Amino acid sequence: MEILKLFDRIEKYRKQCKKFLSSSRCTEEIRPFYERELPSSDSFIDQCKFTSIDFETTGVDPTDNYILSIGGIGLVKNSIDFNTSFHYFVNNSKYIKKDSAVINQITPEQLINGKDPVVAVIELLDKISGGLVLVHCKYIEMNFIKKTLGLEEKDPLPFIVFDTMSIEKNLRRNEPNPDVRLVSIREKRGFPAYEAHNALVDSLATAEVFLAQLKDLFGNKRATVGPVAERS
Amino acid sequence: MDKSLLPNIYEFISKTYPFSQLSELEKDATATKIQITYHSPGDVLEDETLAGAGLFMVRAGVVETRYKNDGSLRGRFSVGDTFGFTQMDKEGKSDYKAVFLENTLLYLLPRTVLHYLIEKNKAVGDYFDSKEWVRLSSSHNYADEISEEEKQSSTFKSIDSVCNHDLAIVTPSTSIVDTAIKLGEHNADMAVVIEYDELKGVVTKSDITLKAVAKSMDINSPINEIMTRNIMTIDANQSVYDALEMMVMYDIKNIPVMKNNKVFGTVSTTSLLQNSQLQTVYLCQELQTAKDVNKIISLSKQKKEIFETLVTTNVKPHTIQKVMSHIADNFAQAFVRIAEDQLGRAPVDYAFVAAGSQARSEVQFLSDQDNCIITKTELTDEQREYFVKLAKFVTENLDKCGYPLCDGNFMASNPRWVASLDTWKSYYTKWISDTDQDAILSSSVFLDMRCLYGHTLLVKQLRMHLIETAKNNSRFMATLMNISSAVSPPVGTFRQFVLTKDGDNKPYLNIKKQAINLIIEMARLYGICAQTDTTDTYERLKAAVKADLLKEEDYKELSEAYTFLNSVRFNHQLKSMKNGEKLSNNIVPNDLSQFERNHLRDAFQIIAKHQKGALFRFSGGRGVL
Repeated sequence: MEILKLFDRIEKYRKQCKKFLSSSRCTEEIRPFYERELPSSDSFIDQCKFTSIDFETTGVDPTDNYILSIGGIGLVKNSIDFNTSFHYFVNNSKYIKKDSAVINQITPEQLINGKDPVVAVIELLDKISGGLVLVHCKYIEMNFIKKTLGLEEKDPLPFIVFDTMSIEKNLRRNEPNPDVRLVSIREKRGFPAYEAHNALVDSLATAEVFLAQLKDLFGNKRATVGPVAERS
Repeated sequence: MDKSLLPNIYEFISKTYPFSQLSELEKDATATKIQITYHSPGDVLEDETLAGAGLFMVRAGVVETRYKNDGSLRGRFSVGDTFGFTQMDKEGKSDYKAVFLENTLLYLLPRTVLHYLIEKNKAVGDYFDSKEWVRLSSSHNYADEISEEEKQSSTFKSIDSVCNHDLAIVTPSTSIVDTAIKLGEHNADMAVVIEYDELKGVVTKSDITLKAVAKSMDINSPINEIMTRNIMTIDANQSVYDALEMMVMYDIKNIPVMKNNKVFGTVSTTSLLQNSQLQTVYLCQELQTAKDVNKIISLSKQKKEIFETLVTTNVKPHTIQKVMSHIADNFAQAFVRIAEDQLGRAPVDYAFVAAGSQARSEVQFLSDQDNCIITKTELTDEQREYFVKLAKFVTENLDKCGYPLCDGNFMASNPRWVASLDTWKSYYTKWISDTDQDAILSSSVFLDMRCLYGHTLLVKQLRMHLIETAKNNSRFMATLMNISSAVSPPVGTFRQFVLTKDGDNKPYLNIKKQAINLIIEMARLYGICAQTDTTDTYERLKAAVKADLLKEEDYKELSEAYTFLNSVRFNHQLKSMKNGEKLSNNIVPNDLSQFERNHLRDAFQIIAKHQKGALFRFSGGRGVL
């Protein structure tokens, strides 16, 4: 078993996180998050802290784009629990291009009253670190978190990522060019369309899709972290 | 939470009855407590995953519920449907299990939240009452029902609000001439005769004209010589509709209104004039004096207007049926009367009798005519000829008035159904002892009879004979119950289909055959068993409670189901009428609101439950066929 663990991606990632504690970029602010114990690949998903999150941003590239809002919702024992939902605006108003605010239907007033970006991301990490984090297309959220905290791309984040987009690609690997946009996946699975888009609704939409994917992967067997992380 | 963040959840809640009735704050509380799960075909919720959980709402997909004791289908649910609340307060074992048929996205509103809402919001509370009949009774708020709250509200029309307090009051010893003067002073049509605070009688203007003046009476005689004693009164708390019903049923234009057993005022047709319901009173009065057949036929158009008004003003179905029956009675009576005028006096005493729905005073817009004639003695050929002519005249003219001829020819124009009392008794005896196809068909119509014209006693004697013979013949009762329960109510609706007990999907619901008739048939049997003479379905059920055949709770269940089914039927007929479509008893599920769907499910469950009970009572639980 111990030998197998050498090849275990999650085990590797856990080690990376521990190692990061000695990095100069591991500030006092974020250190406690890295000290939290991460799930291992044979942990049962329904026993882990598990949050679906989504960012609304001005664009995909973090170098010249900014977070507008952060939303998320918890999954408790394979059920999405509205009680755990959260949503807040991020005050990046000084950088915001007018047109991207229109697309996201977020007004400058909402942003000015939002949280400072670093505070917002730290608060988010406090909610999600040490657990499983669900996103649709992991690069966006991961990279924006790293950029906000001044981390480098190679640095680990203190949680294990599940990505519904990668999982869907894997599930439909026999199709030539599967359409894995969140909207298309939902439509394909007969889920109700979400007309409005904001960080909370999208994190919820992602979580619903994940519950269906979990059934595809595990059927009625109790799901573990490893196989999902493999596909993310 | 800002609701703009979760527009879909809010929209879903706002469309799902009864959550649509919640305040914004309550919707907030609800939306933020929902839990979402996902299930694939074959997944099951039962016992601890179902009992004590809360209310499940299907967001996408399909799930069906089956009873755990016999595996029978309980319901099938798709988008927007809810289930689980009857299991909400159970622990451990659930009564049924939910099996997923498709990939399903399920919302769960936890029981604690639902309990909170039930406590806070009356609409939610009634809707989720554990008793089907309470849920059904929450579905309506009829204009002729008065709740305690409404009594206080100024908008509710109790008689109080329309009654006239400017009374012409006289004593029994007041002279006729002084009474006439009093009537003039008060510009009244009726004077009340009071002695020591007690109502002794009433005198109308026409009493003075017809009973005194026309008979050259001494106008100084005391009024008590011509006043009407034993009068009908009405309580000030009763509704305008009660007054209306009384006026229609008893053909009276003025009714003294009582409060604490004292005369409080009077209510008259004129004081109800603002109310379009009055049309019925005038129609019936016109029918009672009409002599011209074509005139009567032209009056029949008003039937439709009256039906529309009754349904639109939300009068309870029972009253609608009574009013429509009374109108039908008046048409039949008018034609029998005219037939007698034309053919001369009947050669023997007879009764012209309504059967079927008219006998039960359950006439509705689609009812055809069922009638017969009972004569006191056996008929000679010549005498028979008279009744054949009379019956032909009446039934054909009723047909022209929108009471179609009966397909099964259960009409007085059929020589078989013009018979002496003794022959009728022998018919019954035969049907009861020899339950073949003909007996079953005929008895289903003629077990209900009500005299429309002529000698009421003949009908009464025949009915007593029926009750005496039938209640002692358990095989007859068992057969009738078995036949009735051969039709099961549907389980509910599912998407655009009606779901039957066997899991079949039918394109429409025949609300008469698949539901209403089943209650009528049970009530009839209970009525016979309780030896009651009434033909009214509600009264029969009440009599069964009195005779300890049913419990009070059973009565509430069946009567609420019956009321609800009829109101669905009438509202759908009204809708067809307004769209210029043909009326029918067939309802397409797409035309049902989510609200009606949920309540129909309750009504069906009540019927199915009582069919089981009645089957056990009348045939010992075993089939005899």
